Amino acid sequence: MTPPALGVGIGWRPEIDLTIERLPELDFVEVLAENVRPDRLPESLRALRDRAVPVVAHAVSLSLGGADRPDATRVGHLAAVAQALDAPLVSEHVAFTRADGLDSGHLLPVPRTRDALDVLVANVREAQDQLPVPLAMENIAALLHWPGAELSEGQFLAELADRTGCWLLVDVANLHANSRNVGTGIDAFLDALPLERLAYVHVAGGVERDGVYHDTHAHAVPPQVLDVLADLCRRVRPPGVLLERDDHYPAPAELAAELTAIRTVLNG
Amino acid sequence: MNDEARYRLAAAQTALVRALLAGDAAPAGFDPERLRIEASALLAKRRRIVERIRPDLTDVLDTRFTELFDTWATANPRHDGISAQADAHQFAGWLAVHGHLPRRRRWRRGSRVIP
Amino acid sequence: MALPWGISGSRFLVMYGVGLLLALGWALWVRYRVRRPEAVLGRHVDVAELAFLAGGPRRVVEVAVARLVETGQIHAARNGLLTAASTASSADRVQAEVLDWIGRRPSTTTTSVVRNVSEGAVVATIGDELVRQRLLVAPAKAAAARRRTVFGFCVVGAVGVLRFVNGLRLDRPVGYLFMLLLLTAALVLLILKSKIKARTVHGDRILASARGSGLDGPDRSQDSTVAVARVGAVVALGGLLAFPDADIRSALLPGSPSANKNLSESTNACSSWSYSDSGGYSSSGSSSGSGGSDSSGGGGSSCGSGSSCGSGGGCGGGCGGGS
Repeated sequence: MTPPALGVGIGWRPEIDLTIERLPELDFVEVLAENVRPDRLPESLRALRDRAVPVVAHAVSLSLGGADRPDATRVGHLAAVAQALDAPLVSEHVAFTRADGLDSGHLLPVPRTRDALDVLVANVREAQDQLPVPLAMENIAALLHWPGAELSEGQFLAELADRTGCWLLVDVANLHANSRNVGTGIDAFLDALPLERLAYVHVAGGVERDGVYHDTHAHAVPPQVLDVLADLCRRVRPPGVLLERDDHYPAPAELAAELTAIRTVLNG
Repeated sequence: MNDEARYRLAAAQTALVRALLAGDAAPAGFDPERLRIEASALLAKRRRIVERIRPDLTDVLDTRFTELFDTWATANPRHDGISAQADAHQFAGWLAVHGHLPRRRRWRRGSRVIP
Repeated sequence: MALPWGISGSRFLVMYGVGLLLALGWALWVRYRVRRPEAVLGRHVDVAELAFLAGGPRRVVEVAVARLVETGQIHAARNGLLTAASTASSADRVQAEVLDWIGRRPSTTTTSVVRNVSEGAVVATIGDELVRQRLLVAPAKAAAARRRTVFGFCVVGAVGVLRFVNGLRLDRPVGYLFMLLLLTAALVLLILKSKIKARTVHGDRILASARGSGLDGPDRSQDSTVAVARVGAVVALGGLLAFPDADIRSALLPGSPSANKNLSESTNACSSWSYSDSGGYSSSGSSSGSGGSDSSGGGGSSCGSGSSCGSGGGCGGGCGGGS
């Protein structure tokens, strides 16, 4: 099964729901599954779904990279949301959020060892069994670097995809952050991936402060991140590219301009 | 499936999470400066969420909010399954018990402190 | 038997009646005069002033919110929450106040913004200027006028009460006098309840000509700056109920659709407002109105986009010109 064509879209946020609905040339949206009740969809999402704008369900709390097996309730919720939204696919992260009963509230990197990969593969397979639509896995930005890595970031993600059949969600902003903060090689990463499994791409803004790049989702997309997108587009035409903005929302015209910039790179 | 692998992973991840949330010592092989930055980012994120949920607390505590929150948060990392609202509620409870809230309820327009 | 005060009962009743008529005349005269100050050579009113004339201080803020939403400086979510765009700024003072208020809070509603900014100094300045231009009655003057209108009745009534008490003491028939005293009390209550319109007749004229000039008519241009100006004029004259876009309109107006329907129906179709129902504003003098109704958003009365101002008559001054 190949990933469906999605186009250029934006992350749906309740504060700007009407603004998003009115964006010219909006091809698809992505919504955070944890914030949605499948039995009480926000009016805006219903409107988009009824307009045949694809809505992808994105999760952050499954912690598939953790040592525990996936929590059936959380996966079940994601499945229900996907069904209510008619989502063509769902996505999660190569990350863990919890350990020893403590919740970090954040996506933390998984050690890139074969052991950890085995656990992750098992977890992803278990989640996939419970999900009605394909699952895409996303690379995260990490300030921290586990010692004793046996695989590169690209190899890790590639092997995960090969062994589970999952799709890929490549976050070029995260990739840029890692290239700045932990020395990940962008070309090496992209070369290692089975890009025929690419489902869509995340693009977001950030800011560099004190020598560290912060993927804030609250700033305009910097040109360097668009460059990484261009690098990716030279290898494959992504079925979808999504702008993530979580805070300090700019005027609608600016949002539209960001989408246009993305479209230009996509078609360029 | 190899349960050994899960146990080892659990141990490693626990050490990291406890270092980030509860102030435990940095596990071997991690850059302490990076850990500090990340820990501080996680704390700030948790604080911002509580600020948003309980603007009445920020109103009452004003500049003391950050220091008090950070003190409480490091001693009380959030547990799995505790919602953001519950987290905020626990903080408010701690404030009340330790006498950081004003004794008499101050009514401000539109806000009310409920410990 | 000597006549009390030297006047026969029926004679007194007649005199009292005349007194009532004089008091009524006085009351009407006071109300007439207070809205007719000497005209000042008019200058053009801008949209904010037009809004103030049409719907009071709250209407001014509604216009600011409407224009900010139209220009994308404020995001209005379907659930009614307003978020300021990160790059938002405005040269217009009221809009700047609105942006400032919204920016300081994680999430706020239209009601909250309108209520708070309308009570602030920036909006009050607009009202003060309109008073200076004799387009509005000064709030203090309106309050004073209301008190003056009942003065005559109080005098006449006092005399009547004295006569009544005297009559009881002398055991004379006081039935009719009693009824007249009741009538006096009723008239006083009626006069006090009947609010003095905030606009002067000059203000009425300006508003009528603004309505007549088709500012809020259908938009035939493609120019976006003209569109924004038109939204401002439309909301100034008709309140947020007149906002052209249906989705945004329901986002900006809190409450259920039926509550919003009541907003336009319950108010005087001819957009006359008084200080007591529009939540008065503090001008340089003291404010007359009470804190006023908590009416959501609307500045008391609005003509609403659908309703006409009534065909002729019944419009109590100033709705004139075609709408």
